[in-house]
Parts: sequence; C-alpha cells; structure tokens
Amino acid sequence: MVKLLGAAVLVLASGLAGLSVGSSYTRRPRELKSLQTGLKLLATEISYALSPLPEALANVAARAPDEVAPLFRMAAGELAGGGSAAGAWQKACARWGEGSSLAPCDLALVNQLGQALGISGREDQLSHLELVSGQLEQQIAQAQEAAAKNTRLWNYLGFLGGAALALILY
Amino acid sequence: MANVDLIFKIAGIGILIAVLHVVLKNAGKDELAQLATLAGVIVVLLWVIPLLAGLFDQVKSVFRLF
Repeated sequence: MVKLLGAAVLVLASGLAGLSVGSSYTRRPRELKSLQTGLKLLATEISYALSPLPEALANVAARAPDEVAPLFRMAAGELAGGGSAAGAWQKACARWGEGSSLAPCDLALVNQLGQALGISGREDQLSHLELVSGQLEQQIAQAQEAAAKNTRLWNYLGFLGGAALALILY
Repeated sequence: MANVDLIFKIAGIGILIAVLHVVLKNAGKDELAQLATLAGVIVVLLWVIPLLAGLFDQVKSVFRLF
C-alpha cells in the first residue's frame, strides 16, 4: 500500500516537473512579445511625448503588459535613486531576468539597450530601440519554433519518465 | 508462480518505452529516442539475466554436467 502511494507520488511529481519545464517554453515567446510591446511604448514616449527618461519609464510601466511592467518600474525606481541611466537599466534588467523565463541571450539583448538610453539624442535612442526590436523579432520566431517542438515533448516526458522510474523501482 | 510480477513489469516498461520512442521521435530527437530504447532493453536485461543464470544452473544440475 505504501509502495503504491510512493509510486503515485513519484509519477505525479515528475509529471508536474515536466509540465513546468514545458510551460517555461510557452512563456518565453509571450514574454518576448510583451517586451517588444514595452519597448515600442518607450519609443513612443521618447519620440512623441518627449518626456525625460524617469518619467517615460514610469509611464511605460503603467501601460506595459503585466509581464514586463516590473522591468520598467524597477528601472524608473533605480533611476530615481540616483546613478546613471545605463546602470539603472542594467540593474533592473538583472533583477527582472531572475524571475522571467527568458534565455540569457534575450537578456543580453535588452541589457545592451541600457548603453544607449538617456545619454544620446532622440534619433539615436530611437534607432537603438528599433534595432533591439528587430532582433527581438528574430528571437520570437526562434522561441516560437522551440516552443512548438518542446512543449508537448516535456509534457509527455515528465509523466512517462516518472511512470518508467516507478516501474523500475517497484 | 512467483515471477508473474516480473512479466507484467517488463510489459509495462515495454509500453512506456514504445510511447517514449514515438514522442521523442516526433520532437525530432531521434538519437535520444534510440538511447531511450537502448536503456529500456538494458534495464529489462538486468532483470532477466539472474533468471537465465538460474535456468542454466538447473539444466546443468538435471543433466549432471558439473
């Protein structure tokens, strides 16, 4: 009886682990897309509203999708606390990246944006935002491809692996 | 029969490995699918070998081949 219970727990645990790995594959393209939306909002703030960076970041944080709003909020907070725009953006990036399911290469892309924010002219900042947005487009396509392939695989793999392990140990 | 359980265990492993093979192959990980199949074969072999050894011992003792 105890053995049966243990086997059930094992299958359930590895199944849920598989599901969570699978869901991280579906979350990545979604987060990349909302990141792109956030950057577009920031570009609008810079080009039309002409608001200074702390204000622009706060405005974007209020309007951006839920997944990326913390990034802009943290950047605005860091900037309000003093220091350079690049440092604030990179710190916010690092803290936000911990909780997200983005790959390191996505974060590096966003991170490098910090070097252009707030220090150069409007045109220059806009062209940097445009560049990063275009690169994000490529990452989104890649991430969607990976998600289509891997999500179903991991959903099955967790349960099947757990069942096989339970059977071997039984 | 004491070892009927083992037959069911082997059948279970067989079914699971077959499904795993198909899933991995559909995901484009052919080499991992091969590896999973090989692992299944090895696990089952490890279960069966002691029984085969017992069988050979019994044959030897029946025909006095010591």
